Amino acid sequence: MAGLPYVSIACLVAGALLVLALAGPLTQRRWALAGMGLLSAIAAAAGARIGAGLGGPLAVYAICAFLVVTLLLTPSLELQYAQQRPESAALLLLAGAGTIIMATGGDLLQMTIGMETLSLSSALLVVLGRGEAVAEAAFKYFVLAAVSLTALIYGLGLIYFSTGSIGLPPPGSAMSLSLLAGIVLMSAGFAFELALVPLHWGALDLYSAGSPAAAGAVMALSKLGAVVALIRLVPIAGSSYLFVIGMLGLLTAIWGTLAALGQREIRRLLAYSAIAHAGFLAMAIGSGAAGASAAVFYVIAYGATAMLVFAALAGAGPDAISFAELPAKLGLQRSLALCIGLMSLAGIPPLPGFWAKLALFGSTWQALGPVPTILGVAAAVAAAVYYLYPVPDLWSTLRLPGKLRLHGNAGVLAAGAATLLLTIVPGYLWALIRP
Amino acid sequence: MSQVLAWGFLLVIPGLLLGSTGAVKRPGLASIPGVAVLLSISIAWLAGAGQPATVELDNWLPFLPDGRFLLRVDALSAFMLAVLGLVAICVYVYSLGYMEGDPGIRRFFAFLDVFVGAMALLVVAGNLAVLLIGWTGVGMTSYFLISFWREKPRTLNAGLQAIAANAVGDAALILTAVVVPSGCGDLTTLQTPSCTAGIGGAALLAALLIVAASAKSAQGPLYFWLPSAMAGPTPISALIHAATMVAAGVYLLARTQLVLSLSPIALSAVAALGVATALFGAVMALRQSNLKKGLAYSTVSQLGYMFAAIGFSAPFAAIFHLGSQAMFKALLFLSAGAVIHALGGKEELSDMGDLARHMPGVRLAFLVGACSLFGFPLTAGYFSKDAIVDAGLERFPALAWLLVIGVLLSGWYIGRLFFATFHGKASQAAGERQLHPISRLLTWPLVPLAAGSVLFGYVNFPSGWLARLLVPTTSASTSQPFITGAGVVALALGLIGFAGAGWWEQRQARSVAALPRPSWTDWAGAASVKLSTSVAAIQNGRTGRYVLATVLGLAVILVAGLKG
Repeated sequence: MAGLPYVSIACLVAGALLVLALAGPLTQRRWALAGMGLLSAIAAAAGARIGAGLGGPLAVYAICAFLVVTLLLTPSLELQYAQQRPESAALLLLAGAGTIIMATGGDLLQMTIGMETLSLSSALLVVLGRGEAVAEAAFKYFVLAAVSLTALIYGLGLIYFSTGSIGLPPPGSAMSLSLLAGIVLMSAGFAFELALVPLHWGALDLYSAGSPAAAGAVMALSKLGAVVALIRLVPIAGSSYLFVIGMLGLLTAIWGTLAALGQREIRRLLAYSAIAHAGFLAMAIGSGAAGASAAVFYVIAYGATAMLVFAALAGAGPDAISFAELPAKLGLQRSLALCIGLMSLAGIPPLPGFWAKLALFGSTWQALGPVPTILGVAAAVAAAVYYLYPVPDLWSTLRLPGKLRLHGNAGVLAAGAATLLLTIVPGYLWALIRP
Repeated sequence: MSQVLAWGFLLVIPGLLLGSTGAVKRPGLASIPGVAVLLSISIAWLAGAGQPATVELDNWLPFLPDGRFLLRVDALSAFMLAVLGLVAICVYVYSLGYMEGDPGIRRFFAFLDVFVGAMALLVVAGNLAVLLIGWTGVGMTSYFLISFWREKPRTLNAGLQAIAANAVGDAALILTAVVVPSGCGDLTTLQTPSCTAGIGGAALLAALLIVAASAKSAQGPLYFWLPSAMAGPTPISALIHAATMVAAGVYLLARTQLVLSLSPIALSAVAALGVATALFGAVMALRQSNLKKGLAYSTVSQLGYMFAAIGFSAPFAAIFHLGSQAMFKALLFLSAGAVIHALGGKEELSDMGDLARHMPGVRLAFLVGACSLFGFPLTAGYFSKDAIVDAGLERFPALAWLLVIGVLLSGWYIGRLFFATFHGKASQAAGERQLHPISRLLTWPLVPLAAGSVLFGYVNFPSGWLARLLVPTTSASTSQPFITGAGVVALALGLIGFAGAGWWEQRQARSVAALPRPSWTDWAGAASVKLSTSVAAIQNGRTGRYVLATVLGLAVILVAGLKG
């Protein structure tokens, strides 16, 4: 288990501090702000040499990639007060640093601190946004994060009590009741960040209330951090607890899918979809060693696609948007990007979301058995109904051809490039995860 | 040449780019050359110029049991490409006229291009991974095209029904791709012992393939989406929902026939499913008041014949009938589209009648298609339907005789549609009926399809050429008898049905319009939305409840973790 990627974390924190120090001049210069953030995110990725978990520094690369897309969106971030733009960029960088610590932390305390950095930054990032619902949603998320922090700290205490160390217990340790309870409580705390049912309440409101750029970043980062943390922690407790996580995942996938079927507002729909995807991720985590690679693959593919969807929605305003209004609000390119993103989330080949599902169900069939897999596949394909529901509305007002506009669409293009790459060479990402 | 054919699905891309970016002024025109090339290469291949070949790229999807990118060109895929190419060209030309002036015409042709590409990929797919792309791709474009006229009521609903039914089949196919043992997935080797060694064995694989095929081909309980799919533009109904996509299920089962034959129960189930759907579709076709829906149920019924052939272990007969059906059903739909176009979009039989005087050419085309459908002697349908019945008499005589009775119904429903449209008394509003002129673009494509409906049978009679060609993939008997006992009975019944329908239409003042009834699909859709909103209503926004639920959730996880 290698130590933390200090260089990357330092780059992100330094970037955040610099942005805050220069807040005055940067408020008016949106692109300079984004550029500074980009520099520190790229430096963080370049500095990533080490990292725990699957694929070594892969998690850091993915986190930095999510940051890059979101930073490209900062100029169109919808804020209550425009002068808080540098603050939100700084919070974003800090959230990234927290995610890296959560994913790669050398011991359980570091992972806990990382998760708290991430969830506090997430709540604050959302609360800076425009709209009436953000403060309420962020407050609820904050309260529930405190509850889950309790579980996390209590679990940490139990593990320390059993093993005399705050390090991750080595795999195959003898399971005393207190050690098992400690691992269960800690993983429940991480599962809050993943938004697993029945711990998803705060996350759902946060995702749907936040401005799209902020919500997309929060969603992608927290899922990635939680997945890597859970992959490291859960298998230690043994196969029966893995199965529990897998079943919770199935419950979550069905819950999210059912609730999303009736949604007729795009952001609430995406929030429920994020819950459903958390379920699929937990199914993969619950499938043990084979599932772990699938989970990492899934969370990166999902993250890229979710960033595409939210980049397309960025700047569409804080109010509820009905499907029919979408094309007029988004314009040609963003409508197309949204279509592609939704189709990928729905698992339409050859988009990354489909590859991720194929990777996932192969491992669950082996580990969780036929019935959960069949139910999971049913939830996955039923989701196509709600993802594709808005698509004819999006197409129906498209008038081809349109002029390609680069300005303001940099985030869409970056996320689109990532999606395209994963579409064409999914095997490359798999090779990074499983060398 | 085989390599070109394998990559043939890419031939639509130039047309797609030129058409959708507006580089070519008339949308759709740029797409035709690509399809024409596809058609000519596949015909040249079939005529003897090509050899079976595969294209293989390793390590494409390393997480699958068989993650190669594998394309395979053999006689079966070349035949399917030829059918696709022929019908697609006719539909492209037809759509140039049919969709003229529609504001979304570029989008329409873009979807059509994507569909043709996906279908071409589907039939050259060498393993399950590639098949899935084509399979889901055609389903998705089908949804977009059904919902094409979004502003018309119920089109989105119809599209969602198609998505829901297709999702069942996609799920089955995804499961097939992930549950086979490592290294398996090649469609031609699924039946080998090492590939049927997983959980459930050959029976599970066969069951999954049957579910997948039934969803695509609207068989059994999964029939419901196909009649609703008629909400889409008529050229789409001809190409996607009659000739090609819905036949993909039959194609898949013919391709994997050897897996099915490992499980006798699976074969009997497919035969029974096919016969039941054939009869059910025919009865439902008799009850329709809408011309396109009548034809849609007829497609359901004809696909049932092909399924029955698969169950009779006669995949060649299924593919043969697939070819004839593609010709005559595309012809019937395009003729019906010409009628609908002339009537300004009216599809109800009650708005038709007495059109023979106004459009004799279209009437003749429809008549040719109808004759081929019920198996008028020496037409395509006559030979291919006989091949199915013959195969059935060897295996399941009782089911085969039921199919023969089905021919009576076929003759009756197609006769009813024919006479109600072109003969009989015109509707009351006919006095002020304004017939739109029909462009030549709508009539010319009928000619090759009519020729195909009549002549297609001769690719196999009397020489057995097609059977010999497909033997390596479908293990068919090569002889094609000119006439058989059951064939005579079927012929007589078909004629009686057709003539009976004419007599009945003359007697009746008008076809009785069936009352629109709320269907169970509407009910199911409403129920799922209601379930969904009640799940979503649990999240009511109260912080106290959230905290309580979170704490309880933590307790549940803790108990489950400690007990488990």
